[in-house]
Amino acid sequence: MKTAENIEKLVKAFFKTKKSSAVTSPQMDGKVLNDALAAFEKSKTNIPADLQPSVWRIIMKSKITKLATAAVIVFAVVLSVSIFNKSVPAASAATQVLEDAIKAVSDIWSVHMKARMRTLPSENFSFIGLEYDFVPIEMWKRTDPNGLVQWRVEKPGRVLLMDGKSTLMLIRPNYGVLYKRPLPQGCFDSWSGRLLNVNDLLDSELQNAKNNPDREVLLRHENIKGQDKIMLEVEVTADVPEGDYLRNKFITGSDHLKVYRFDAETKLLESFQVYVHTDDNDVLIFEITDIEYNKEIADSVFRLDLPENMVWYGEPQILPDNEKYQKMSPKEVVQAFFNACTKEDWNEFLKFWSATAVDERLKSYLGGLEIVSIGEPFKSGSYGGWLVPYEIKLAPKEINVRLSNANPAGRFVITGQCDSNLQNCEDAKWTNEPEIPANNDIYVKMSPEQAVKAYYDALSRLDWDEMRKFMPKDDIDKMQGEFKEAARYGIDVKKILPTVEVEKTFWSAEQLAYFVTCRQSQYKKFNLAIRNDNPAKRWVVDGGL
Amino acid sequence: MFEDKWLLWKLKQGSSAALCQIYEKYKNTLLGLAIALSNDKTVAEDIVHDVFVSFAQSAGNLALKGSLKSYLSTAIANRVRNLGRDKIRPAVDIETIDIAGADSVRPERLAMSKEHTQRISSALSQLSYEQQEVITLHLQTGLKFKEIAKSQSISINTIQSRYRYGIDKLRSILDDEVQK
Repeated sequence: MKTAENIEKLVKAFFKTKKSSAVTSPQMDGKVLNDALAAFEKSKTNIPADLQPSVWRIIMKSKITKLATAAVIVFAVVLSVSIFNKSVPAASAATQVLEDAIKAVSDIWSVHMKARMRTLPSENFSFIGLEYDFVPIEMWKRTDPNGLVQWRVEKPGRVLLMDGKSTLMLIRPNYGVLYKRPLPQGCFDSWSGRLLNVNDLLDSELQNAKNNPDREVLLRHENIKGQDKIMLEVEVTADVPEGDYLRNKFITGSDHLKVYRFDAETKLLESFQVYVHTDDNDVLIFEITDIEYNKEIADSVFRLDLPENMVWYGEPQILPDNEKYQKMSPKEVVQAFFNACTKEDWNEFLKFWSATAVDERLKSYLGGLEIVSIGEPFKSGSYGGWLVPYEIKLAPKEINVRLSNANPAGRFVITGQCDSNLQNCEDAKWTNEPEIPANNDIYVKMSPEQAVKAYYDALSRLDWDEMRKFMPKDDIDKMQGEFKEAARYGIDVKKILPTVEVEKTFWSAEQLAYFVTCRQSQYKKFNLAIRNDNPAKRWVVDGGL
Repeated sequence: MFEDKWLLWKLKQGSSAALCQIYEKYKNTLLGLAIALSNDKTVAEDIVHDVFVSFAQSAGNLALKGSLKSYLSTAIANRVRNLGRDKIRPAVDIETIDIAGADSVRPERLAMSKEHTQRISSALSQLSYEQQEVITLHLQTGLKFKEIAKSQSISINTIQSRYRYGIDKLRSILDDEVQK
């Protein structure tokens, strides 16, 4: 039985063998170059001379040349861009394109955008991660004949809605923030929401172009399906330094390239992309995949049905003993917050949590935790609060691991994990049958309990190959990637692995499967974000749980 | 990477020398790719010719989404795809390609090598063109999935699935043969 890796090696060797015979002959070289050069000469009359700014970008992005750019900069900043058949400085040409585009959107009464962003489905609208998959984002905005503006920004885990009178953010399934007044796009960190205000967006670029004539911009024409498009590329420098905790966690915290595409005829913005520069390459982090202007939008888009058990976040109120909390240092705040979790004192918890109630899921997650350590608070970027490193051990949870040996290998593999009531289950997706290793017999003899033990033992050693004997390869690959990413942030993954005690095996007639009951304790090491810039001037937890 | 951007910039400025340098740099890689995808050296040479002439023609308006290598490799793959399955040989005629390398030094090893090569070649030809394409672009040309996806305007998930299914199918074909 060959593994996928073996196949890859075989095919690579095969290609290598074939490649060695793939050498062009002098006759072929002569013919190709002759014809290509002739075609090239013929095409020269059509070559626009608008490419110098890209050299500027190449120079600035190259690590090799960054050390010796002083002289080059003098050369590069005087380069100009040729557009509209006249040579003008790049920034001036950009302002012209932007002014045209602003004019084009001046009578727009509805915008509908589809976009995607590398983020987490439930995280806030600005958070990014270079390694994350794309999450879809959809946005709508309309202005009725009476001037009433309504808009909505939505991603799988969050919805932000301004219905003309109030602004609501729903964090699915049942958390919400409500302001009984219209807030502008961009509120609640909804970075992408600002894009709906095409006019303001372009105007902001216009002001930047006017105020910073030396800003790195590139304008070029591109022919897409026979239509002339104008591409405007703007380089933006991160607002946090390299190595900062918040670097590359938000678009503004990254060195990035914004690429706008306008239709040359209508001047309308057609697409927008953001690439984050890393040491290795440019990562597409956000892109608008579709824009529609002046299309009717259903009224239902600007309505939101809320669940009955909503938990509302709001500004912290002044407490009778407010001063006590006001005086706490950031480190004391974190200590007191986690102490409340340890004691399951949810009234005390709410002193640091600006919500109307504590959700049962949160209680179950944090209740009974043990504090391992609390580190020294630090500041990052322009964030107004403090970040406090912590390590906690979450209270043991009962889980039931589901197993099956109804597979060609005939051994028990994990097919899912359920809660203590066997209600909420997370399936392990076996897209392919489990592989049959040479020593399969050893695994066939394992009981469900032994299989679960073997899996968790392998996990404690980070023995990925062994783990693949019990779990789908895709799941293990993904986990391996996440651990690698965590290690990149200096997290000692082995220290925060769950500890699992296997308790008993039982057969579920309802689910027709074996289950192994385990008690799982997990460590968590992260940074708690706290801030006190609120009317009560006391500290509340802002993120990082 | 920087060299490519520089060459491309020079090309856009009208430098014929840059065109020649690009050809020299990538000609064998592209020919190898075209042979792997079309299974026909003559057809492959024509494809490389057409891709380069077309590249030279459009050099002035070129807007690359990724690297120059991925652009040229994708252009080769697209041309082969446009040939249609009927014009792509179903499997490599091993005699039409000179097998070189260390294995060919001794006659018995050459025979083994040819048999081995033929089996893999035959297995590859049983894949869908899309699967063959992504496997070849990744394993032969060394393009990353991200680059292939970007240059073909297809999601990386699709590209990775094609690759995974292709490798799985190869494994199944080659395992079956071993068992026969």
